Amino acid sequence: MYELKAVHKRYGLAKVALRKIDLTVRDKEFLVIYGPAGAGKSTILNILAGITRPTTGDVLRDGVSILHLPPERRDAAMAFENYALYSHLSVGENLAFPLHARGMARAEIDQRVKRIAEILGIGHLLDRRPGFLSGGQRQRVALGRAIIRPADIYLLDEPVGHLDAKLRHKIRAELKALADDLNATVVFTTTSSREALALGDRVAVLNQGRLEQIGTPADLYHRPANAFVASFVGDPPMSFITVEPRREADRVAFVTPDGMPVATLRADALDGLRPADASIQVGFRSNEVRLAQQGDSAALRGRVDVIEHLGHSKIALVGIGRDQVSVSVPAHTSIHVGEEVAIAFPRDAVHLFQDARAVVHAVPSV
Amino acid sequence: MLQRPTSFATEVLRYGLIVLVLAFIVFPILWMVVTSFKPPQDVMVSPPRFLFTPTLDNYVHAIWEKNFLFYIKNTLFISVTSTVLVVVAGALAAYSFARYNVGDGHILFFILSTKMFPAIAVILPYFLIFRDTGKTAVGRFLGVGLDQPGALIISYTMFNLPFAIWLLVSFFQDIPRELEHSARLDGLSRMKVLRKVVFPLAAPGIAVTGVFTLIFCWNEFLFAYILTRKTASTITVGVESFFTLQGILWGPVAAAATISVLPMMAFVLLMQRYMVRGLTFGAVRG
Amino acid sequence: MASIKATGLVKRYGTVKAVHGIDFEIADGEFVAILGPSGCGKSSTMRMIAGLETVSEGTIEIDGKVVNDVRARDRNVAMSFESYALYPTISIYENIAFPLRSAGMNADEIDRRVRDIAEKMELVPLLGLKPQGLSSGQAQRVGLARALVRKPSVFLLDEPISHLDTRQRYRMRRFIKQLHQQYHYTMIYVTHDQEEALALADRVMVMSNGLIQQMAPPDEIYARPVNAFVAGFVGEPPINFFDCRLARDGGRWTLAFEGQTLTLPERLSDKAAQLGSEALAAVRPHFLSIGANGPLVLEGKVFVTEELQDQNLVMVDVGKVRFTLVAHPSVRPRRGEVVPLTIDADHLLLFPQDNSRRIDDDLAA
Repeated sequence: MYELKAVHKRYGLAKVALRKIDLTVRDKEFLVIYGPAGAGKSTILNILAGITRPTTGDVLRDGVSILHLPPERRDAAMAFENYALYSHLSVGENLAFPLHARGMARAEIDQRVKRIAEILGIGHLLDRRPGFLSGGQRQRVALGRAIIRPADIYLLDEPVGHLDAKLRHKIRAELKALADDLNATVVFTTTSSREALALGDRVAVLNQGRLEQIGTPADLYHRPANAFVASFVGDPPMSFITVEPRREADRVAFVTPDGMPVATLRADALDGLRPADASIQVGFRSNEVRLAQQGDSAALRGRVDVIEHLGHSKIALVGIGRDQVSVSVPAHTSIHVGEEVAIAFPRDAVHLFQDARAVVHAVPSV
Repeated sequence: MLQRPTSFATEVLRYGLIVLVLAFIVFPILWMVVTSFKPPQDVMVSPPRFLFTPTLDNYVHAIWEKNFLFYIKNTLFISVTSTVLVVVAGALAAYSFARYNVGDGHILFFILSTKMFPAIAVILPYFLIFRDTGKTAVGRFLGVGLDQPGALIISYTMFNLPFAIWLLVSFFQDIPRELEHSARLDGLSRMKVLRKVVFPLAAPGIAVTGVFTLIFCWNEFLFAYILTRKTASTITVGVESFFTLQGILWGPVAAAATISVLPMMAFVLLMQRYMVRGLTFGAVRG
Repeated sequence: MASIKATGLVKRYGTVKAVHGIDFEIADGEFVAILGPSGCGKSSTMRMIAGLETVSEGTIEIDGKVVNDVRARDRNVAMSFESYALYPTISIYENIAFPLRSAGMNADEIDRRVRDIAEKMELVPLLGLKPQGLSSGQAQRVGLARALVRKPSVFLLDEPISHLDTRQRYRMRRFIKQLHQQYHYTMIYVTHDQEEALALADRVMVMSNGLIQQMAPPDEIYARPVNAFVAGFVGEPPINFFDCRLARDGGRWTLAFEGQTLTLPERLSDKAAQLGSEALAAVRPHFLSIGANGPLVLEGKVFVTEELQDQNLVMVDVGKVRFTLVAHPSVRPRRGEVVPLTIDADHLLLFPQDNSRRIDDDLAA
């Protein structure tokens, strides 16, 4: 088990990469660190590897500080985002490098190199130099070099980010299976919501050096802690409508500025809601709402602004007042830009945010 | 940009220009080689004679009477030793500048600034220092004194080191840090990382630096002329000794010059592959 | 605004052919996405339209006039690049005004145009700032504004949002789409991202190896791909391919695959007869389901289940072929479990096998 305790990292005087991060990597878990570029994801991996020292804070392994341990004594294997392949060695020698470094027998090295190369589909490239490979091929070599040897912890920095969509899909599945088989502790960074949800036992959402939320994929998806997580996890992003609360006896109705009711919730479920008139937003996922049919009671009216084809489905972007809500509809639905539509939403799929912090999720309304 | 088909006339003009520039560069070398095969009476005639009976007399004169091979042996020893020193010390220094930013750039600038002195400005202090060290026992033992190879080796090393460091720093900066991090995570110690990862990757840069240093040492005249008399003289000084009181022996001078150019020519051709890779890969770009 | 027509368009770089003679027409006000992997010729095609590359053979017409020999700046074509390249020392206002000033327009007209485009692109509050502090999404909008301020008749975009993060990409994508809907520019959008192409374009032109594979509206590209390349390049998660043998059994055609035999639906009889004994079959992950609920049932072993919360992706190995299927979040088969796998008979596609080789090659690249 690895722990970051109040880890703060500053580069130079002004550039803060991490802001007092507390993070635990449990044994045998697949932890995904997910966030936009520049969020500080790589810095966390570098600190775990011993390449970077935190400005303040501590790093523990099984309760013991390892701050003073240099990288070569940490038993971490890492795949770097920019591949970091040795250009003077062939692909096969690159893969074998970590094994040679620990003095493994030649026969076993050959066997391992062959197996990893096969899994990653680079078996035919073993004799080439990295300079003659495409970006996707290099990335697979880099990933292979990291996972080829047994290690206490595997640190994978966007290891599939530069692959094309098909290959990413394929390698992602292989990686998940491999992590299961090896029963290994893996920390994996990504900028893709899909990868984060697909791979992680737990996902840590990082933004501008701050840990926004850590939890299982289901936690992040169904109970996002704030508007950032809500809009960053899930594909397409959650859409929001700004509402005003209207108190009515034991319940609170939330209505748009135009007076359309969006949700009505029991007042006792709204402990977190402050009376102040700070902005309140209701969030919807595109697949939690649908176009209303006759007989639907709660429906929001709006106009279709944009329609996007996604192959199997379409996303209609419906303008409601000053907000836009994404609605996922089957590809064959007849719907046109400019059309007036009504949106219905199930009552258990309401996400309420005040000042961008989550107040309540999916409370059954009255 | 729209590329337009080039006309025949512009092609002719283009090649004409290339030939002109090439002739300008190659002619002096060609003239030197041709002169080295001319009999004495054909050397200084005007207009120059291009048809003559070639002779090896000049070479015989240079090698046997002037003992030119002795100068070549001296030069080889001094140049190679200085080059090895420069490359080793330069690589280690450059690595620490590139990776640890030692002195925050100030020391690097200071080192480079020593290149701003003209050689003639430091030659007098060098002369005085080596005159005195040559009189001490240690100086005599190491050959560090006037007309001793050690004096030239030290001078050349000091003189080339700043440039070598400056050249190598940018080569090392071009090697991604992650390569070293990765090797350390794989369990290699720092020295091993240098040996197995950093130096092999910087090989083209090191080769370029070595070649430049060697060429400089090989062709250096001023230091060698001032600091040596006889026992440690290098080829440039040797050639100068052909300018006798009786007159300049043009034929043997050309022969000696040709002989001294050949090893460098062969060496550079041999290293060309690395040089080109090194030049496009590293320093000169920055 | 303008229409574009290309006839027998070829681009050669020395002896290498990048575009192999393609024909297409783009209507006035249409939004076309050129989609393909790197090296397919999509950028060369766009650059020929822009006038940044010469045309090796064939013609390009804008509004019925051949423009092969018209210089880029006289074509009234604007182009926006992936790197938006703003001038750092001058204000946003001056950045947008730059192309007009270099064209020597008078100050009043420049001011009117800059304010007009800034309004459209929601940049008014930023006009006085320098580019330095802008977010990448804002900088991208300034880049677009600078391209559009000249009132081009054709607007070309070369992977304009591929470097933005997911959220900004969604936002910019919708912004560009709305821009088109409101002002009806003739737009050509080059991308390697199939989702972007489908989401944005009125029609998608899929290119590979310097040739147009298919040019059609997004729903058609997705549902009725003309060949295995298009089927494989479009769709997320990617379509499942499997090599199979076809045989006639009485009145019906059958498909044999990994020792299992399926009877093909009537719909595919003609296609099967045309293909003969060997074919490449394909089915999209959405049209596969776990359980035996139809005539086309295979048996396979579960490899991995990815829970994406709104849906689960289940990877199932049938022999050597790994199938991906999209399932409801409640479907969570265990690894190694043997399950029946039903192919939706209405959505099984058949292609000739030689086409499959090309797909594997592209995948390996």
